[in-house]
Amino acid sequence: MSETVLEVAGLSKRYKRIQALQALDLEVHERSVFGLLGPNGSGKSTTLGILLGAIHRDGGSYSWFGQGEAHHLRKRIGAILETPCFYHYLDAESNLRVVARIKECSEEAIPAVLERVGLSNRRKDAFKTYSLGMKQRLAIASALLGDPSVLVLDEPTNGLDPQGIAEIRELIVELAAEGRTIVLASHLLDEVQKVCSDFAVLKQGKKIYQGSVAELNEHEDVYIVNSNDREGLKSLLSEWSFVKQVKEREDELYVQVTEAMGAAEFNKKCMDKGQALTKLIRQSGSLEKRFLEILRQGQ
Amino acid sequence: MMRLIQIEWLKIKSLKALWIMTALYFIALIMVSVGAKSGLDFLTAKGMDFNGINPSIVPLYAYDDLWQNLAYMASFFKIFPAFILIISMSNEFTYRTHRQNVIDGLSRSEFLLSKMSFAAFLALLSAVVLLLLGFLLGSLHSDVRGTEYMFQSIEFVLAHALQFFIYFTGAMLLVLWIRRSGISIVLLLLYTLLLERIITGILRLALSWDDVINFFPLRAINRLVPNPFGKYIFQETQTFLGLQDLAIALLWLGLFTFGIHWQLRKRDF
Repeated sequence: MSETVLEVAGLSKRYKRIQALQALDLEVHERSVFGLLGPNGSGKSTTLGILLGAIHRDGGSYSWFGQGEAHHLRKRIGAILETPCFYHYLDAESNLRVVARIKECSEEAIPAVLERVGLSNRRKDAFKTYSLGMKQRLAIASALLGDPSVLVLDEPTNGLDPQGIAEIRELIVELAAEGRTIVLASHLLDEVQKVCSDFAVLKQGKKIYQGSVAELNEHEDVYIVNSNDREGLKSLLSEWSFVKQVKEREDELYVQVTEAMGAAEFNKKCMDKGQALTKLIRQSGSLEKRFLEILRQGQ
Repeated sequence: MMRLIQIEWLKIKSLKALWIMTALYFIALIMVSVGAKSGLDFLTAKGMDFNGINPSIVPLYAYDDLWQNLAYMASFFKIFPAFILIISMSNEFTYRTHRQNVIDGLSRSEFLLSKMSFAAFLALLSAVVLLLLGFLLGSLHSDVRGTEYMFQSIEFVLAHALQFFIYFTGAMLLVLWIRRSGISIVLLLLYTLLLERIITGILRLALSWDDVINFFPLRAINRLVPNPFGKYIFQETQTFLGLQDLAIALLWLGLFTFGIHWQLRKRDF
């Protein structure tokens, strides 16, 4: 097992009338890309806010690098929470200079991180003249200052156009490939699926699921089938080891398989056994369904 | 500590409002301290007198009166640098950079120290300018010269710095609590120019609680440099820094600092 970068135990937070977090436990390992997934208002930002010292918690504890909660540990973490926060009247370079002094890292890294996010040509312009996408990229540049081994990103693609979203995701994948540990909060399943290795699902402040993205993908293939010989088809399906579950509905069978195969191959296997299908639908996007299912189960 | 001062400096050095306010304050300070003499000459020319005394013979710039005179005149302008502090602090809340600072690895106390270092810097800068003005005006106008007089009562320059610093700390607590520059500035103006005067006025006239009014914050701060001009019209005037006054002012400094600390600890960033 790789080393634990972040450990969270029993974290709780209550705003006046809302229980924002209830006894949250998490463990993030070195070099993993950990997704914190959940609908808006599920407690993702509250969690990250507490872990980064901005929000007081009511109970529980957390520990970075196995060394506790001390503020200086955050200098080794690159983090952006919600909207990018910079001094509007300062240009990109001056803003990063402030961050460099706080993190006690060299200012020499500033041109390189600006280059990396494609802001070199705008480095002398005031932050307030930036578009949302540029602000977000500056936030990532700022998070990269001091070459941190851990990045915490809260909804990094929020409000960006499709091209901006693609660029940021590509950058996250690159950063992960460099061996950094990344904690990513998102309400977009698709985002977590594309960039994360592990994830936890939050709902109303409670963790209702934790697992690896690979595991989640296993549940992906579902076939909706029917034939004139329903009983024969059912018994045939129950013989196959790659069929995980068969559910019977009014005029169709709902078949979950563990092995990825095309619809054609599935059809051929049935034909070989003498079953002519009258209906065959391979359900795509069932990951979304699975996610919604998890959310439903959490209720 | 140097690092915290550098951080604050990087934040504010390109803030236009800061430079405008600073310039305004020093221009006002220089104009009033240099112009006060001309003002008195003007009053003489208009035939005015104070109980039979010709205003132009008032030794405004004579050692050792000079230090208290200048510091007293300067105290009327302390609200300008206080505005600068309010703006620099409320900027943090508006842009939510106070939060980002903490996320990036600053502790809350470091954030506070960084801001307070700027308040201390402004108070000291003002004291230095006062000192230079004092030596300049003294060498031009004082009829008594010589080091034995020059440095007498010079503690009022230090009292001035302390006075400003305590006032700034109060302004800082206000903006930490309100979090908006506009409302904070209006409240500070109202309190400084009006509110405390009304309250202490009522207490003094209606209830004759003369002892209590010295404990009000603005009065406590102002009494670090008492009004020196009474002596020129033969009124009893305090020409030294009172120990009790100093103690009350320091008590307020303690209360303000405690309040700021409490705000930072208690509230989410």
